[in-house]
Amino acid sequence: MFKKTSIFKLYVLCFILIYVFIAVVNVKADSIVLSEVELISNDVSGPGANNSILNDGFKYNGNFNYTNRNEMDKYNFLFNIGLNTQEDRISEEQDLLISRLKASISSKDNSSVFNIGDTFEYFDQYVLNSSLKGISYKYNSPNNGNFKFVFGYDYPRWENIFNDDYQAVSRKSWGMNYNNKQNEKFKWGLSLLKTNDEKGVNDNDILYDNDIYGFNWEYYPIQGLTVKGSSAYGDTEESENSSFSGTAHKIKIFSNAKEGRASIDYERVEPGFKTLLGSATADRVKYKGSLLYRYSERINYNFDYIYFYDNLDGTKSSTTYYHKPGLGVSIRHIFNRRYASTSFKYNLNKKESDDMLVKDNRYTVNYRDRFKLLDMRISMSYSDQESELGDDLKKEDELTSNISLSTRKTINKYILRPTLRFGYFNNDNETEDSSNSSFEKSFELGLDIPESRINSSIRFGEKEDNREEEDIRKLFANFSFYYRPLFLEKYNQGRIYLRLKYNDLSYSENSDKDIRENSISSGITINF
Amino acid sequence: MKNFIIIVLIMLMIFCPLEAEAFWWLFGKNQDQVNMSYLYINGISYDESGQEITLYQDLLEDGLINIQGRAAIRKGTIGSVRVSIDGKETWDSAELSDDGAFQYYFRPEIGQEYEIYIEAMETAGRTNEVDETYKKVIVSESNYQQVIEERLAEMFTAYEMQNINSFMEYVSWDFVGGDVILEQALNKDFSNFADIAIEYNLINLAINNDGMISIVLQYDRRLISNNDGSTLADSGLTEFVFNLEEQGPVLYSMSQPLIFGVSDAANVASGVINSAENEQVIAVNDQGNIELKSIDEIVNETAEMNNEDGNSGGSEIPAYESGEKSIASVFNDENGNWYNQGYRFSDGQILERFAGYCDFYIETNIIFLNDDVRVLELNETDINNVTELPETGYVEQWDLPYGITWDICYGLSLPDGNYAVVYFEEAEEVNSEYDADIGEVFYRIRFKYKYRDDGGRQF
Repeated sequence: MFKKTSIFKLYVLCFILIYVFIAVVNVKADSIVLSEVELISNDVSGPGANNSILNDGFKYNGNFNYTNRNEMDKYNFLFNIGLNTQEDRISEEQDLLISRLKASISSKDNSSVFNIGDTFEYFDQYVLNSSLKGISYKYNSPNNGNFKFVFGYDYPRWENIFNDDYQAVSRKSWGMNYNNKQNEKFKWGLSLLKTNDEKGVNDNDILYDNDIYGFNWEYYPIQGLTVKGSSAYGDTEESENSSFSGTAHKIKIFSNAKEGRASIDYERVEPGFKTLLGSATADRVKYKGSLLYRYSERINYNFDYIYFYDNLDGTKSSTTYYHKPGLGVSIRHIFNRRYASTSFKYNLNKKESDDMLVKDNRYTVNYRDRFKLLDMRISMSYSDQESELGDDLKKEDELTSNISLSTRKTINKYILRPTLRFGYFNNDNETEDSSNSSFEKSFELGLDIPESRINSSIRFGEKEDNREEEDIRKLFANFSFYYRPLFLEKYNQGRIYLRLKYNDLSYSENSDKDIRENSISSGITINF
Repeated sequence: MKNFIIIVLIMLMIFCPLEAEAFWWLFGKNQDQVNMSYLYINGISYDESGQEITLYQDLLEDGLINIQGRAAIRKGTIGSVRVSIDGKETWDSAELSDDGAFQYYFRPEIGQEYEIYIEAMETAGRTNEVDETYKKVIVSESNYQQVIEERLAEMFTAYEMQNINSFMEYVSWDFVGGDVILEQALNKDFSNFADIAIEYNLINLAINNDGMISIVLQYDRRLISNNDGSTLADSGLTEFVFNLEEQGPVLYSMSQPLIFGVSDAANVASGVINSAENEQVIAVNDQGNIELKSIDEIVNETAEMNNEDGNSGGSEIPAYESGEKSIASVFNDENGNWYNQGYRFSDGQILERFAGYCDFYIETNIIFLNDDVRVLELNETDINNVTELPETGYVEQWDLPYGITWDICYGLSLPDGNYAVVYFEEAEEVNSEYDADIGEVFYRIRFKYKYRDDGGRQF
């Protein structure tokens, strides 16, 4: 492989060449380039430096994305590539990454679209909800139907294909989906997806052979009301020669209008249902009801109820039930004050099984108001929790409160945006007669100079966590400066920036965990 | 069964009176008026979006905005449909079919806002409620990569600053794991973590024509527990799917390893990213403590929670591994080499002494500890009676008066910061035993162990 520095130099050279090329020649309007070069200097010190998430030393980061659209005869062409050259992530070993790679050909009447590279075709939540590296074809029928075919590998990154240092299970998949608009009120679709793990990474990796068959539909019985559903059957074979199967079903009744929004959901996913490229939590029956009622222009009501449980096949020693009701109200212009608004919310989070009961009642209040130039936001949340885990009883209550005071003042061409924030958290464990608390205070000053195309802000503060085992003190500061100079005017979003970050964590009992992090990053972004 | 009947009844209530007057959720629509059966702007349903829709320049098919719909009335015929894109200042006719379906295209300017109204008129002159068709359409200058990057920055800032109201603005009402479940998990996160720090890079992005965006993030994360101040860091890859809705991209689903809502990962996540890069991931146990686990352990957590064979669930002690194994001193006939087996707690593997790191190993009939392992002799012969190890007092093997001896329990302080209890039975001389897999065994030592991978000392 090339040395990292060589790649970065090459990247910077390309960046400059492209910039010069674009400056000299007017690139066609159907090309989009997004590019960024960033230099970073991280300084991590202290005995706990191994817990830092910053990569110590002088680092770089470069992003380049190019999209080109063209047309020829009856077809449109699209090419898209994204490159990322970086060394600022601790765990990232590769110096040149391909973040996007895609080409597509589509007919001008949009009846046929062929993709190669990063393909993301959504079939259904249970069947396919993940991108693949491969090909896809979509045919839109003039009779309100469409057909999709997809083939590819479920690799999260391109490096999984051509660099052995980045490994993932070799998961091949192909499938098809047909959607039909039966009439104005009814649409339906059928899906099939076959996924096969060809090769694992480790000897003990479980390899799957997974077939999913799906049926989805949408129905509009009357205006403003949508009923939709999905059903899927999954058949899975494991490398250990065991096999299992199961079904998943979901129905959603949904209404959205000026006066409110309401939905009722039902979902049942059997324990034997497994989807590798879709989204589902197996072994669950879930009911959900939700209503947002806009009672007036000033007052909204919210009601939610979620209930779900597991152990559908009765093989677990006990079933766990979850109840999550919630209700809330939000009021604008309260106390006849123009900028005043408030909301109250109550939620219960209850989880129970034969030998366990966890209850968490949470009450939340938010209030926002403006007093002349001063904008004030207050949020308070109180929670009382009870848990019984076997013979272990636990009772605790918790209070969280945040207050922010901010204003905005224009002085000549400068806009000042100072903000003062206070945060308080306290947890009392009544069972163990112990408590822990934290208090955070910070100040932020934003400075914008629109004439000079400058946005900046500085924020610094302190957070103290006090608990019986150990106190932690955190000092932090952030500074950001964004400048859109005239020479980047022709590039949308083109800007130069500077960011500074400081974190200092000190522990009262284990000073060997103390850590100090400084980070300075500066870069340039162009987009056109 | 009872719940199934309730759902069936609800369904029947909705499906049977198809031509009925509006139900409570219809908020007063009347079938004698001109109504819109459906309306879409670039495939986005009017019903499922709010007052404002943002479209992105690189997602406009042929650079056009396409309004499709169908006007209907019970008694009468739709005669014309007009569309205004400038807040009723000017009107333009839409292409109208006999059944009331209509279509209207226009080429927008990038960065502009359009105030759209649709007027459908039946032949007798009655029109629909035009104001109800209002939509503000913003054609963003940004491309979707920028939009996703901005949205990620907003989400991570809201999460790190523990601002739940801001964060939930970026979550779809259709979030696969459940928006309320995610909100409650975030509340638990903010109770459980004294400090959250996450750095990330976007390493893959794919979009489809339905306005859904799949992204892969590479992250480095550090969490500090509110319970005991313990600090853990992890790195890995994870996958999010976003839906483009009126307020821009909103979170539709998240895979394991979970970044947001990690306190209830089993219920919030709805898939697992396929990557071998996620070796150890931060998880939160029932007590709200943070610990490092493998992805497989996290994924199977729900199943194990109620498993009778498990040693967690219902116990106040966090899960630990325990068992009984043996290691052997071997002469391998085929290669003519001696080798000695060892054991590594972190992955439960029995290894050849020189083929990888072992916490302890056998040499003939003697147990040796790795130089980095510290040991404490416990005054206990039954490993079941050892429920807690002290924090200090561990020494190197060579500092024990008689070395590692048999039939007594030892506490081990391992180089990765974890603790184990181990009990060795006296070495068994088995010169005559031949094991087809490993060769000719000379000595075998059986041992019992308890091990925790979260730095805890309770068993």
